[in-house]
Amino acid sequence: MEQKQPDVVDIFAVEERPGAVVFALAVCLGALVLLVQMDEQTKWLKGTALLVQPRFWPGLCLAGFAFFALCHFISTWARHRQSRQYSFLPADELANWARPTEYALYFMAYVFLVPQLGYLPTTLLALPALVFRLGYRSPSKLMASILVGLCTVVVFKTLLQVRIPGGRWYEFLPDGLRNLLILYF
Amino acid sequence: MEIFLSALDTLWRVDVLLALLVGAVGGVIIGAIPGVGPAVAIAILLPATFAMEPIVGLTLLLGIYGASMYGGAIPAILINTPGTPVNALTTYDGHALTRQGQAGRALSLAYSASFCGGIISVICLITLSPYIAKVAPLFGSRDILMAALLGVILVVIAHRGQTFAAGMLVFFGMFLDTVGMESVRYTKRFTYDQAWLISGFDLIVVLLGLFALSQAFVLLVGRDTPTRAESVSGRLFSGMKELFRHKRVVGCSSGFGVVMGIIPGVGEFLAQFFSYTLAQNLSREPQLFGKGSPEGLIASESANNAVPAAAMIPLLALGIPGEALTAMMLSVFYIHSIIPGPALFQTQPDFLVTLYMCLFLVNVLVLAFLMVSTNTLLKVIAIPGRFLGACILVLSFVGVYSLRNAIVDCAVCAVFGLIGYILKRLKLPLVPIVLGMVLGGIMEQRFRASLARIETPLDFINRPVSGTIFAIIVFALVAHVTALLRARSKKAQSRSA
Repeated sequence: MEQKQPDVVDIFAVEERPGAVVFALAVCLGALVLLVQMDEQTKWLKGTALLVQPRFWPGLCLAGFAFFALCHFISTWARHRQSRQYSFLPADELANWARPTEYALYFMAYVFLVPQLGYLPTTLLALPALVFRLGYRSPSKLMASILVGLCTVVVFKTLLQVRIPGGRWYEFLPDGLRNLLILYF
Repeated sequence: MEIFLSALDTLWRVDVLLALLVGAVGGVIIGAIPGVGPAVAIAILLPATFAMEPIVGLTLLLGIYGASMYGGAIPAILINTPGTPVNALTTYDGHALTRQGQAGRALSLAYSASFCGGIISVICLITLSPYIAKVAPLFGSRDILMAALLGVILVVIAHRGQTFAAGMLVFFGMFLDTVGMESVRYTKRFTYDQAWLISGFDLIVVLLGLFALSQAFVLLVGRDTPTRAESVSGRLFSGMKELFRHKRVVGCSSGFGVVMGIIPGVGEFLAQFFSYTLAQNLSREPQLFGKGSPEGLIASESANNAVPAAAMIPLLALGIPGEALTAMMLSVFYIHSIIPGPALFQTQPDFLVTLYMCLFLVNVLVLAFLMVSTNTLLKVIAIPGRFLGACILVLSFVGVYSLRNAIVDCAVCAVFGLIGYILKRLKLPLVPIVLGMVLGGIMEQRFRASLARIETPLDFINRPVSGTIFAIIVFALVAHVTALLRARSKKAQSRSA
């Protein structure tokens, strides 16, 4: 397969992406909502100069955010009208944006379980379960996920001593084992 | 001499050497895995380094930063998939050489060019240091404010074709930094009376969401593409000899890397593309570019490897990070109460010399490691993407939860992960958000510190340094607008023709 001659201009080439207009519109509206809330969410101190007002800096940031968001929306809209490559509301792409929500929830479930079950047990449970959910069913992949989980805990908790609390059920274990698990796993 | 010996003494400590080794080897492996990249690894490791001594933590992160681009060249050359985004241009000539049965030669050239780029950059850093030490104290609040403003403007205009999007994201990042209790009048800003918002958005939580978790999501919802790289035969040591024949390309490309690394907000992409174009223009065989030109490969690899050491210059001298990875490293400095900036050169010169030595040694270690382990590393390339995604998801937890053991941090991280995922789908840049957060904080602080000496707006630029930086800002904006107008008229001409 012949590759095309590379050109510096290639990195600046902007291709239209599905959902770009709806995203630009959403950001634009979000910026406007924040601007409207400025009065409520920041303070204006009487008798204080403008530049030292607590509202000044967030106001400046939000004004810049809203201005560029509006410009971005207008340019995306213009590009969209010119090409008409994708629909304004591409259902497939919007569904794609929602797809990682499952994994975000999985992540949060893992976060909630760690303080209950402990870092090592949760990791040894969660990683192979996720790998299984992803469709890897071979014993080698499942073993590899267990190994990765174990290594993660050993490197971070046992060796680097990062601050992750022990599981709640560790409290019911005999003293020596409980201390070992709380400190290292 | 005393400083040098003291630095050498620090360098010979077991923990520093171990961090150097782990960083260098780990960086190569991370770089070689398509879809991971140094940003993900550094974001995950960042909180773990807080417990280490600053020199150990920074050595580890610098090792990963400096080594990942070496590793990224391997899949770029062998399977036409860049290991890190900045190796994209390496695929043009590197993979073309592989298709011609010269994979060994391509890898050898890439390693040698990367090594030369890295070493030239470290030498520049060391050579420039005495001058930086002299110039840096001249920077007052107004000058640093202007330098940070220059960084913001450059990061926006460097995203040509996406200027509005980059501007929007920079200001979004700056806004995120303002959320919470402000430290002068102690008033709440956009906290919505939520206790967890009073301390604002933690940079590391946002970083982990935008870089690590979003990448995990990208991999998890993607498809595994079977990759198989043939083992490499031939002498990997021969590249240096060939490299010597193209010393002009190496010199120019490394120079571009150094300059682009120093300028905040520009980074590896522009460095390698400019050096590639220059190499093509200077070459006697420009028709070979994109079809297996050794000069093209050398230009892109030496340019992107010259950036990491050079990117440390604005960080160390002014405390201004030029791109996302140095912005992450800034938090390691802050957590240990080491404030990068003019005073650092006077108070801790031995710390800086140790850092320079580490950067130098990383390049040597990586080259030695690659010479003996390339064929072993090919196995890493074959790890399925979704499996990696699952691992990154679990690893991201360590990074974010270990900060404060707060579940709300994890929820914020997950939300930023989703935002990062959508931005990646739309091919919008993430770096402006991070730089906006970091530079926005610096700008607000310096702006307030300057106010005591300001009577009219012109007072912001009436100092020699701030005036010069302001002139650079004006020049950059004028050059950007001129380039845009020229491109538009060219487009109109080609349409009418």
